Amino acid sequence: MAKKIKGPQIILANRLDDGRAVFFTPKQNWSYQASDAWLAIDEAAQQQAMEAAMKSDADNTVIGIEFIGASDSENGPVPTHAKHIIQNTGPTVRLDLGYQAEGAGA
Amino acid sequence: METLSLSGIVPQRIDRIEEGSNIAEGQAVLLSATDLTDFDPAVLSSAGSIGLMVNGGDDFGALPQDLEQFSLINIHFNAFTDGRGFTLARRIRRDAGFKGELRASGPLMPDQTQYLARTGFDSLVLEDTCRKADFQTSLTRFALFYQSAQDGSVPVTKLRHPVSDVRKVS
Amino acid sequence: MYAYDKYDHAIVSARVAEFRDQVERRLSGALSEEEFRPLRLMNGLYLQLHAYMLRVAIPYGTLNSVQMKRLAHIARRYDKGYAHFTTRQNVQYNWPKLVEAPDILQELAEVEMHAIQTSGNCIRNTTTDQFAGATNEELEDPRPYAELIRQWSSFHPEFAFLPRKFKIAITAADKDRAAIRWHDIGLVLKQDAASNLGFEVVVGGGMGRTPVIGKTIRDFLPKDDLLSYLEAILRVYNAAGRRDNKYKARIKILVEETGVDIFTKQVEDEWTRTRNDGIDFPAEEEARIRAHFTPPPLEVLPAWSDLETISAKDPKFSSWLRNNTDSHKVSGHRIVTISLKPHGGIPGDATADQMDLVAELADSYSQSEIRVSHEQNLILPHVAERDLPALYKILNEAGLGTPNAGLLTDIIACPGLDYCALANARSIPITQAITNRFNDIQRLEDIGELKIKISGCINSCGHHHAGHIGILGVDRKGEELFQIMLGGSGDADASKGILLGRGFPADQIVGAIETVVGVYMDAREEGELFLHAVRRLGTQPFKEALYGNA
Repeated sequence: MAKKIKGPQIILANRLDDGRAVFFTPKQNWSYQASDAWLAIDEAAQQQAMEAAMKSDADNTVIGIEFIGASDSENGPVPTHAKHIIQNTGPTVRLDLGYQAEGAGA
Repeated sequence: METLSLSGIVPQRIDRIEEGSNIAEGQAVLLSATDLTDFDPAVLSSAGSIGLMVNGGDDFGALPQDLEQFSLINIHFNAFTDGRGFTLARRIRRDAGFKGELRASGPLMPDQTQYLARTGFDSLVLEDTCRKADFQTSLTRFALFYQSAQDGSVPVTKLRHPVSDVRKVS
Repeated sequence: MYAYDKYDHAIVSARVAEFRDQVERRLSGALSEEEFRPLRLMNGLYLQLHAYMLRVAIPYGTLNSVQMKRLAHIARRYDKGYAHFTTRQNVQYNWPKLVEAPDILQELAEVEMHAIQTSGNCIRNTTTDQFAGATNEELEDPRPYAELIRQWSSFHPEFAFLPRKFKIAITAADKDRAAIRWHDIGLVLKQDAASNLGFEVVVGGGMGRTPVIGKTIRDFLPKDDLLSYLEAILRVYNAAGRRDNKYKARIKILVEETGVDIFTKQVEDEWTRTRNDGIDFPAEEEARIRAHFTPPPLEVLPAWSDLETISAKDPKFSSWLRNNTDSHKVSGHRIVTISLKPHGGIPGDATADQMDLVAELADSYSQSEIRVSHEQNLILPHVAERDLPALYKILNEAGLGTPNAGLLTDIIACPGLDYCALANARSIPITQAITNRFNDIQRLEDIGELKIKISGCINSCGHHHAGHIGILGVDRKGEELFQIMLGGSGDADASKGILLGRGFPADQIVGAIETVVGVYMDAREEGELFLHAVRRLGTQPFKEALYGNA
């Protein structure tokens, strides 16, 4: 897990079989879209979300589970950091690739 | 715990002796360099055989003199990513000429057994025996090698040039 | 070029089978991610922002048209129709699936390619002069030595878990196109007074957080002792290199902390003990390998007289001829650099169609041979002068004719934050902004040789320390800033760039580069290159122009 960060957070991982970035949802599964993610506001919620995420990983489907900073929006959570925004959309220099090209993502 | 043979030898039975415990007469014991100086020489001489426990990161130059007094040397790896034990093994074999059993221990992974055998190890302490089959599979993963090594395997250069005018001994 | 024999095929095939088994064990859970990570890295497989990335070796930068076509096929079948040529004579795919990686390795093995040791803490792909075997500047083709090193270092049982990655580069020409002084080990082929061949051995160069230019530990190593000497260096490093801090684990830190004299003595002692252990391959093996590098049967031609006439009528062709072709050792031929730096494009990227085209052009015009340079361009090494106009026309129509080799827009850039999980900032958009601004060839030619190198983080994959202008992207509280350094060089006169001052936001970096170039244009003496002007002037005038006198 990455260093401790403050504020509202969502959980990001990569899928084991194809490496794609996925976000942990309140339905306790993994989604391509950050907007589906479980936004955990306080520490208690974060602990609960992480425990659930770890449990869902018992079947060995994702790797590198970590919290990332996020904020709420009308359409759901949005990652705070540029790196994670790019993970949620795709390369900014190739708009034809990644989630942005598939109609998913931000 | 089980000890896997890497070179075909039958691994010795030997007991790791912790500080403060006793050595029974005739017992085969595995001791660190510090233990060796701590124990009474008379007690040591009553042991059946003595093995030396070293760490992969230990300085080769600081090992006890006359390694042939030991029936076995056990190199412990702190982590599977810490490759110092491979070089230490090579030096113990090549530079010190040690002929006894060279054993590896620590959290090594199955895919490293052939590297161990090729740097001169005879045996490996398996921390998790449930993957024993994987450790054994990887031991014979490659049948051909570019380098000469401590396991005596024939490098492909020799296969390519069987009667080569080898300008250097190998 | 080198062709596998049955032994090479068997070894590479065994490696593919091993990795297939490792992937299966990872998917079944028999291998943990922690264990699997170094194993996949040693097969070139990284995890990046969007997906896995597979780095394929192009050993010493040489490939044939069949191999290039296979790379294009892999881009189409397993990836998204393109590939990225890197600063270490490798090629990267950005979207492969873990489950398909063994199939890709198998497809590579069929054409005598692999991804062995392209990542991980082991001995990496040995790089060399992209003009090797074609240039008239070299003592001897260095690639047979690189192939010797490839074989010796592949699955070396003692050196698979080093403190950190280990990169070797070799050159046989005075003009160092392989940046050997920036490598863990750099080798320069030399002749002694009796005309024997050997190597100057340079150790401890490297970029990253602590840029260091390598130091010569031996002026002349007889060539037959190469592998035993390399092994002595690696053994000293593996035993004593730091493992407590990954930023201090490269051999450059060991050399600095030990002191180069003591380090050299340790290596020499080790080598004296082991040099007759049979580590060096027999002379027959070097001869066998060298036979694969027999120069192609090029017809010696007189200089083609029409070239000047055609060039005089077509200024674009004329620029391309001047900038993107170099002299060949066989009269009537040129070495052609295909720029993968179209203005506004992504440095080093090529589409599958472009890769197929280059393969076809290699078949038609270059003895089916292609090279990859650490400057992220492709090379057709053996082109007859009379074929140049036709070749240029085809390249230009395919977007591969930018006549900017060695000029300001021939920028080296890492993938940056658009792909890389380690990056702090985006390198590609900065490159695009600069190349869009400086897109006039006449102006570029007037500015002359100027190497810009851009990294999106301190790991320096974009070689910013060695750029005449180096640009380093940093993250300051969520904002991408770009620092500028001047005076770096990767050539034989290697030097570290000097940081000018605080970083610039993305939208000001082009203006800052304009300012730096402006200072040079005003101050340069007749025929003085940018790098030489920086060395003469120091950084002060540039600082003043960028930041004022304050």
